[in-house]
Parts: sequence; structure tokens; C-alpha cells
Amino acid sequence: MAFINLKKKEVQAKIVYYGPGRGGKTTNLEFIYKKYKSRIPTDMVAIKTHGDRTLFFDFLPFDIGTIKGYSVRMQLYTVPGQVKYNATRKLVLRGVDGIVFVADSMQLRREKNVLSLKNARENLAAYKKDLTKIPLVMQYNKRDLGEQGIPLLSVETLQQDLNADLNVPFFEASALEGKNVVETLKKIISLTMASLSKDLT
Amino acid sequence: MDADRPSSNKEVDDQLEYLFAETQSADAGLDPESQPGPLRDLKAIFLAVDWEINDDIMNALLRQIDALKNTFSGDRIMMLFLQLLEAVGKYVKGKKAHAHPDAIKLLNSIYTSLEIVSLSKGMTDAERKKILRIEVNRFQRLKDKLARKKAVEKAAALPKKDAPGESPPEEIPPALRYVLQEVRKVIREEFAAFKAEFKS
Amino acid sequence: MEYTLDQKQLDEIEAILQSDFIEMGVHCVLMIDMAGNIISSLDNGEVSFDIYSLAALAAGNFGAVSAMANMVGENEFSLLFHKGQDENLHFSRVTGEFLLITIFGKETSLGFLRLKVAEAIKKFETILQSS
Ligand SMILES: Nc1nc2c(ncn2[C@@H]2O[C@H](COP(=O)(O)OP(=O)(O)O)[C@@H](O)[C@H]2O)c(=O)[nH]1
Ligand SMILES: [Mg+2]
Repeated sequence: MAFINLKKKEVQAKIVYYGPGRGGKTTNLEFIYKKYKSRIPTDMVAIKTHGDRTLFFDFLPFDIGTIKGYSVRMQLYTVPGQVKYNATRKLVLRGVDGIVFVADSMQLRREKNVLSLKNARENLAAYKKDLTKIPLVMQYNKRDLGEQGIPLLSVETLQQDLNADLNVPFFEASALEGKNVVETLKKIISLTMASLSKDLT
Repeated sequence: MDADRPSSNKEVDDQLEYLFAETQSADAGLDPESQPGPLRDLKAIFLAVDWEINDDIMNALLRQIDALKNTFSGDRIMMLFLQLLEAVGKYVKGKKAHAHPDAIKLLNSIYTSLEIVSLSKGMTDAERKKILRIEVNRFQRLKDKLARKKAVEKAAALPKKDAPGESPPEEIPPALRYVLQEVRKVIREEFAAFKAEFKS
Repeated sequence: MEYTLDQKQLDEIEAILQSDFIEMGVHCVLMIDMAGNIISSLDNGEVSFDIYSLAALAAGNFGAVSAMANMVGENEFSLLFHKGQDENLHFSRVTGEFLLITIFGKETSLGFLRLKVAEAIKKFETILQSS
């Protein structure tokens, strides 16, 4: 639920990176943080376990400048991907305005992707939100691994598994190398902004 | 083995002696929790006030002050401390969220001073009076602040009224009036006491 | 999905943060929503906290504590307070959708702060209802 501050002419919206554990959500945010440090007033917040896994969420406030006279701040979050952390994952989704689904392209993660997307659908429903209506972008991550001979799911398979009925924009990416990370972010920001009301148009 | 026995028994005995000793260490009296009765209860109430201020807790405070007035009826300085505490306590109880933030600080600082004065055995009357005077001065400053705030509010409410004369006492809220009465009384009594000391 | 607060509402909220909290000696006070967005914030000019991260963490923390309350059969906990050496944090729900966070030092009484918060919440509710 974005907040529009008519006094300061400011928009704050919440974008959540969702997806199976170890798919590359945190790596997406880390890349954005490194690349745009100057626009990010603070350190990235990461609540992790000892094993460096996301426990609660990562958080990055991202100033994208002025759009239509409003200064726009996107609050970027990741959820913990591991199945056992569903309670905290659900909390992060509260008030979400846009979702990036980070799928893992590795063949052996095929089922995890599908289950995670199903879980997103259910958790959103708990907030009376609909995955088919909320701004959403698919990111097929870890494409770089193909060059190392690691078996990857084809884009057609990923599309078939995850995006057949949703039919949202998708990107082939490598969060580790930064490939299409920014493009993914731009797309979700633009979809999210478009979904905000007439107040801004 | 046998040779060790008596000495280790003695150690144990000494330890027991120490643990069950009737005598108190020099400053044991400084902790109100080691004191029986009303002072310890007052401390417990102050700890509760730290967490929550409501009618129940403030009433308990005022009741406890009454009890302490009986206990210390022969101690003039303690009585003055208790009156200060009572005045501020009544003000806070009456005003709640609208109390001046300094009043809460004053309540705590009077209590801390009262605790020092009542628990330090060797303190002379002059030392005790010095501490009391500090609290009375704080009280006076708060009273001045409240009076000033009142005047500002009144000026804002009645911008046209040009008679700057003394404000009639009816306009002072009861809680504040009580504080004013009390502080006058305290200062009067203090003054009388000083005069008496000069004469003697 | 979004909501707006107009200039008048935000001015009124800020005025309360100033008069009821900053003037009584609170170091920093924030009103946020449950998504972690900042509605209004003020400090005493002597501290500078990373309020955006604070807001995100506070919203997450509040959600987590509420979920724990439900698990033990409580509707909600009435006191959410973290005590530190120099700074303390107090959280309070304002209507269903907002959260008031106060950061204050040892010179401020928690008992008194809680009175102030309860009083201010009534005023906030009136302001927010008009939106
Ligand atoms: N080769 C490769 N590894 C990646 C990529 N993205 C993430 N990783 C690695 O995958 C692991 C999990 O990434 P992380 O961002 O923590 O996943 P999260 O659980 O979704 O937050 C880390 O070791 C990353 O370095 C990628 O695009 N390519
Ligand atoms: Mg992660």
C-alpha cells in the first residue's frame, strides 16, 4: 500500500523480491546497492542467520528522483526464501505494491520455483491481494551458469511453468554479474508507478 | 585424611558464622529493600510509577506518603520532604498527560533525595536541610514555569484584556492551587526554622 | 492500491509530534504505516537516526510481535518497549494501520511517556478518520 504524501509531494512504495531460497534475491539487492550507492541514503539492512541466509528480510530504500512532480522513494525488500520461514515471509508482504519473482534457472530447482510462486499466491491472498492483479515481473536468474555446463531450465520451460497464465514481463538475468538486474528493477518500478492512482497522472 | 577434617569443619563453621551473622555491614541501611515497612513500600510504588502512571498507582503513592507522615511525625525535615512529594504527586495525579514533564522529574528527584536523607544514618541536620533546599528550589522553579505558562495561555485566550493586575485565585486549577499552597507553607516553615536557629 | 494524507492532516500530525513528544524531551518520534512507510517524523536536532531503516525494521518487528501475541492467545501486547543504556524505544499502534515509534533517553519517564502516547493516539485517530 503506497503512501502519497501530499504535503511533501512524495510517494513511498514497497517492492518485494520473492522466490525460492538461494535463487538470488539478496544478490539482486546487493548489486543495486553497489551500483547506486549515491542514491541510497543508508546502509542496506540485512537480517540474516549465521549461515548468511536471509532470516527476516533485506531492505534498501531507493530514491528514484522526481516523477510527475513527486519525489519517489521505492522501498526494496527481499523475503526469506526457505520454506520454514513462511511466517516472516508473510509479514514482509504486508502493504506490498509490486513483486519481482526471482526464479532459479537451475534444472534441479524447477519444483522449488513452482512451489514458491504458489506460496506467493497464497500469502497475498491472506492480505486480500491477487497475484494476477498486482504489478509483477519475472526474473529467470543464474543464466550465467549455463556457460559452466550446469544444466539449466530453458526459458520456454520457465515461461511454461511460471508465466503461462500470468503473462507478465520477464528477464533472463545474472544477479551475480549484474546482467538485467537494473532492467528488472526499472520494469517493476514503472509497472508499480503506473498502478498508482490518478493523483499522480 | 583425619588431619584435614577439623580444619575444613572450621572453615565451614566460619562460613556459617558469617552467613548467619546478626551484625550488619556499615552501609546495609542504605538500601530501602533491606528496611522494613513503609519506606520499602514507597520504593516499590516509585518503581511502578516508572512504568505506568494511573489513578490506582498514584492513589497508592499518596496513601503511602500519609503512612510515612505518621512514621516520621517527629522529624521536621522528613515531614517537609513528604509534603513536597505529596504536592507534586497530587499535581501529577490530577493532570496526567497534561502535567509538565518537569513535574515527573521533580517527583523522582524528591524521592531520591528523601531516600538519601532518610537512610543515611550519620547525616547532620544541616546536610539534610541542604538537600531539602535543593528540592524546594526545584519546586519553586517548576511553580514559576507553570505560572508563566498559565499567563501565556491566558494572554492568548484573552488578547484584548488590558488589566495586567494580579490574577484572581479562582482561575488557578485546584491541583496547581494545592501546589502553591504547599510550597508557600514549606517555605514559611523553612523560614521560621531558620529564624529560630539564628535566635538560639 | 495506495492512500493519501493531505497537507492539513500531515500538518496536524506533525504539530502533535512536536508539542506532545519533542517538547517533553523525546529524542525522535516517527509515525509509520504497517508497510514501513514513513508518514511523519521529527527529532530534537541532536540525534540523527537512519529513520527509513528504523521504519522498515519497526514495521517488521511489530508484525512479528503481533503474530507471537496471537500464538499465545493474546490479541496484542499492551507494552512494546526496548530499554537501552542511552536510548529506549517505545512502539504503539495507532488505529489498525499505523505505528507510533518514540525514541527517548533516561531523563524521560516511561510511565509519563505512556500517558502522552495514549493521549496523542486519541488525537491521531480523529485526524486519520477524516481521510
Ligand atoms: N552463478 C550465479 N550465482 C548466483 C546468481 N545469483 C545469486 N547467486 C548465488 O546464489 C547464492 C544464493 O544467492 P542469494 O542472493 O543469497 O539468494 P536468496 O536466498 O534468494 O537471497 C549465492 O551464493 C549467490 O552468490 C547468479 O546470477 N549466478
Ligand atoms: Mg536472501
